[in-house]
Amino acid sequence: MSKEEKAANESGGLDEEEQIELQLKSQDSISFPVKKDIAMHSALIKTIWSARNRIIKTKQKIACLKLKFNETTGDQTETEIPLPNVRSAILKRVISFMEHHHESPMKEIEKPLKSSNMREVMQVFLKINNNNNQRKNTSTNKNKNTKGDQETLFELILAANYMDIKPLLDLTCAKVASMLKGKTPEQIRKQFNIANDFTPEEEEAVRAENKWAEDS
Amino acid sequence: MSMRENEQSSHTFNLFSRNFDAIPSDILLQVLLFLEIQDIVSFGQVSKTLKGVSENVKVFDLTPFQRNEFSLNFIKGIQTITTVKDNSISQSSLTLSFSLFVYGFIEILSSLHNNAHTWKIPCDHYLCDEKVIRLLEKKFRGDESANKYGIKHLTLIQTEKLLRWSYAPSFHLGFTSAPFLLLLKKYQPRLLSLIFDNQSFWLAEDILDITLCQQIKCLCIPFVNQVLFFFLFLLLFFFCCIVYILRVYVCKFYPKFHPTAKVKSLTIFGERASMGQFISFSIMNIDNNKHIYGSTLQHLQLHRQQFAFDIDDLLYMIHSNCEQLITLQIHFCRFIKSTFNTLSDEIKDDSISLLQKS
Repeated sequence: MSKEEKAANESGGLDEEEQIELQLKSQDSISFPVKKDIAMHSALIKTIWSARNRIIKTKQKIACLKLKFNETTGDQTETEIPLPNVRSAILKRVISFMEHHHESPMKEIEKPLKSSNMREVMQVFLKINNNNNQRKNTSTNKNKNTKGDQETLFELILAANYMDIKPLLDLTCAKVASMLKGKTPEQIRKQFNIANDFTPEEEEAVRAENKWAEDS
Repeated sequence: MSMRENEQSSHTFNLFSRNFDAIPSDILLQVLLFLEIQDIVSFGQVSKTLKGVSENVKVFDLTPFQRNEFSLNFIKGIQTITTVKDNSISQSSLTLSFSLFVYGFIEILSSLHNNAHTWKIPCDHYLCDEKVIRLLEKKFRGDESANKYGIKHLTLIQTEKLLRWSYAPSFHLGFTSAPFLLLLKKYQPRLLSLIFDNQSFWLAEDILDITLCQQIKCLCIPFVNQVLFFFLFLLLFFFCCIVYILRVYVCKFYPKFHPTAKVKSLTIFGERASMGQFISFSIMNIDNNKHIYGSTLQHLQLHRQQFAFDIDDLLYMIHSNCEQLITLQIHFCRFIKSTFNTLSDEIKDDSISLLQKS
């Protein structure tokens, strides 16, 4: 081994750690390889990884003592992070989000939203969807798209919450807020296909209660 | 609509009504944080389910930061509401009445509407927030050139539920709400009415500060608010404890301070101390030979035992109780005899061993 190679090996301890590829395992048992530093955007993964690291080190110490070091090293399951609450389709999007914002961190979204357009936010959101979804069917069926979008959005919110990725949670919540912004109750019902379970009298009463807000 | 379309529509994913129960309330609140007040109103009018969901959002699920943020947005939202003319006084028809404990904003908004001419401000830590204070100041000041009038009627209310202790400002409200109180003091000359909710946690000392101003036409102050009552109760309790402790321990060593001794029969066993004027005594119950400090027994014996006190103190005690004294026995008290002659006329018999009072 040349001197240069040796030096590279010696100094590469930290890089090696950075270059570790974690296997994020979804609910449906599909594993996605993700670089460790990207995966660390999720506080959940970070916690799991650090806890696991401690266990591995303890195991190694024990193994060294028992002279069985070789049996415990190189175990691939050590890099596998199970995420039983996230479907593979959603996990894929979450990973894309993390990769996208690894280089350029997401700007904080202003509260309350200034407009229902959410162009900037939506661009990012759609970009992720487009990059990863690779929709084969670009059907014009509006209901179907709405269904897909909302279902994905809902699952993304839950996944972001579960994996504790704050920027993604903010983004998804902002997306839902933008869908509500500037809409009348009737429009919201239509948008989300919500049945109006108020009786006419109740509806009238609620409307009367909130008339002041309509005047503004 | 065709049958197929109907079927499809019925299966359309419904983000809110079908799944919102599964969304933790802090996420729902995250969504609401992005909305302004009008949108929140619309959201709450969509269906009973959403109204229920929104009412279930609890502030306890929030971090203090989120609570402040929500408060701030709420006030920002309210700023957009237009000015309404009151029958008598032109003023901002705004009410700030968000409950910091149950963010049931529909309830809140209904209360806003029902109290359209009053600002309602519940006390909590958000009143320390600089941004909140700045916004409130704008509300107080108003902008008459823009036909927006400042607050004229103000109600300081209690929130719907009792404050949780960890958040309770009740014991340090004066400190936590200080910025707001300063603001209130500054703008109180403009107020036409100031009402302190009867059940409020606003402390009397805060109120007193504010009520110094005589220009407020209508002022309602809770006679005894809960906190004050609680404080008084605590004070009374501690006072009783201290009195009891003093009574037990101080009186034990200094019988002359015994306030309730009704001595009717007193026996003193004594002897000259080896040094100086000090003689050791203890007060015993004749009947059962137990110490009776603090009791109201009528028959006492004073024994020379473990409790030492100045003979003058003892004599003072006897003197102060002589009205009730029926018998006084003094054993081995040649030393005391001369001193007793100076006591009340009621104990004239100078028998050394026994004083019998008719």
